[in-house]
Amino acid sequence: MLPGQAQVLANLRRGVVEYCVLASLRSGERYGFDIARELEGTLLASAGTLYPLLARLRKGGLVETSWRESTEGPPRRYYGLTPEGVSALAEFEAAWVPFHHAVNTALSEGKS
Amino acid sequence: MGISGVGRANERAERYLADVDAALAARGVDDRGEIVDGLREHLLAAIASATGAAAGSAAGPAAGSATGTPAGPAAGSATGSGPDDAAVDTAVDAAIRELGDPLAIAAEAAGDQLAERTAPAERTAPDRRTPAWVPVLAIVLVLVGGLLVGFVVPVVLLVAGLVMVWVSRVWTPGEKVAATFLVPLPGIALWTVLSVATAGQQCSTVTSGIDTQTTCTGSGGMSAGGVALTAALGVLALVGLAAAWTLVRRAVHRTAA
Repeated sequence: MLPGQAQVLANLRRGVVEYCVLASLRSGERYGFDIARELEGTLLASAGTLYPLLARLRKGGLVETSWRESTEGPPRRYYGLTPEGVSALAEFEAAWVPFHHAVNTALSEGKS
Repeated sequence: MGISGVGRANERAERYLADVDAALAARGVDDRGEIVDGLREHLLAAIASATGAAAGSAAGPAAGSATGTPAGPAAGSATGSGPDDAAVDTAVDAAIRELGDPLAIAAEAAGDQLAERTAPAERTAPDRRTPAWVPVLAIVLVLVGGLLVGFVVPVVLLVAGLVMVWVSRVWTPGEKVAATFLVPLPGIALWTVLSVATAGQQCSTVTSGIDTQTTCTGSGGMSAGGVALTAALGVLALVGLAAAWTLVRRAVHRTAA
C-alpha cells in the first residue's frame, strides 16, 4: 500500500522536529504555547505533540527550564537551550544542509 | 455563576487532560506529569491569548495538578473580572482542538521513549533537572538563618540560602524576591520581640570574691503598644512561614514535573 501524504509527513518529522524545536529557541527562552504557535502545521502533527518532545529534550539535557511571571496568568515555564543543545543543533545543521541538497537533487532528477 | 460557560469549559479542559494522562499511563510513559503540566500551561496561555484577559489567574499548574483542587484552566474568569463565559468556552474548545487527540500525544511520547531506549548512546548529556531537596534546603536555610540571625555563624546559612534561591531556576524572579524578603520575616520578628523585651530591663552585676551575679529587673508587664507590636510581628512571622510553605510546595511540584 502506498503511504499517504500524512504518513510521509509523519515519517519525515521523526528525527527532525526536535531540532526545529531547538532552532526555535536559538533567539532566546520561550514558553511552550509560543513554540507551538511557530511550529504547528507542517512540523507538528498537533500542538499537543510538542510537549512529549520538550520533555524528551529536557531529559536529554538539550534544553533547560526556568519560570517567569506572566501578565496574563500564572507563572510560565520557559525553555532555553543548554550548551549541549547548541552543539546538537550545530551538528544537525551540518548534516541537514547536504542532506537537504541531496534530496532536492534526487527529486529533480529527470524532471527537466 | 453556577455551572455555566466557565464551569463547563473547566470540566472539558480537565477531562481532556485526564484523557491525555490516561493515554500516557496506558502507554507506560515515564514523563506523564511533565507532559500533562505542559498541556495545562498551553491551555492557560491559549485562553489568555484568545480572550485577552487574565484567564487562569486563579489556577496555576500547581493548583490543578498538585493540590487536586477543582480549579481548572478556565477558573480565573470566575473571579468576575475575566472574560465572559462564551469567550472562555470558545477559547477552551479551540485550544483542545489545537492540542489534538490524546492518543496521538501518547503515541508521540511512547515513540520518543522507544527511540531513547534504542539509541541511548546519542544522549549522554546529564539530566539538568534540579532534585527537589535543593530548593527545599534553600528555603530551610533562609528560614533557619533568619531565626538565628542574631548569632554570627548562622548568618552564613542565611546568605547561603539566598544564593541558592537566586541561582535556582525553579522559581520566578518575583518568587525569588518573596523568598528574600518574606521568608526571613519569622526570624526578624523573633529578634525584634526579644530585643524589645530585653530593652526595658535594667541589669546590675555584683562581684563578691570569685562570684559574679547579674540581676535584671523589668517593668513586669507589657504596654498596649507592646501588645500591638507583638501582634503585628506575629502576623509578619505567619506571612513568612506561609511564603516559605508556598515556595517549597511550588518547587517540589515543579521539580517533580
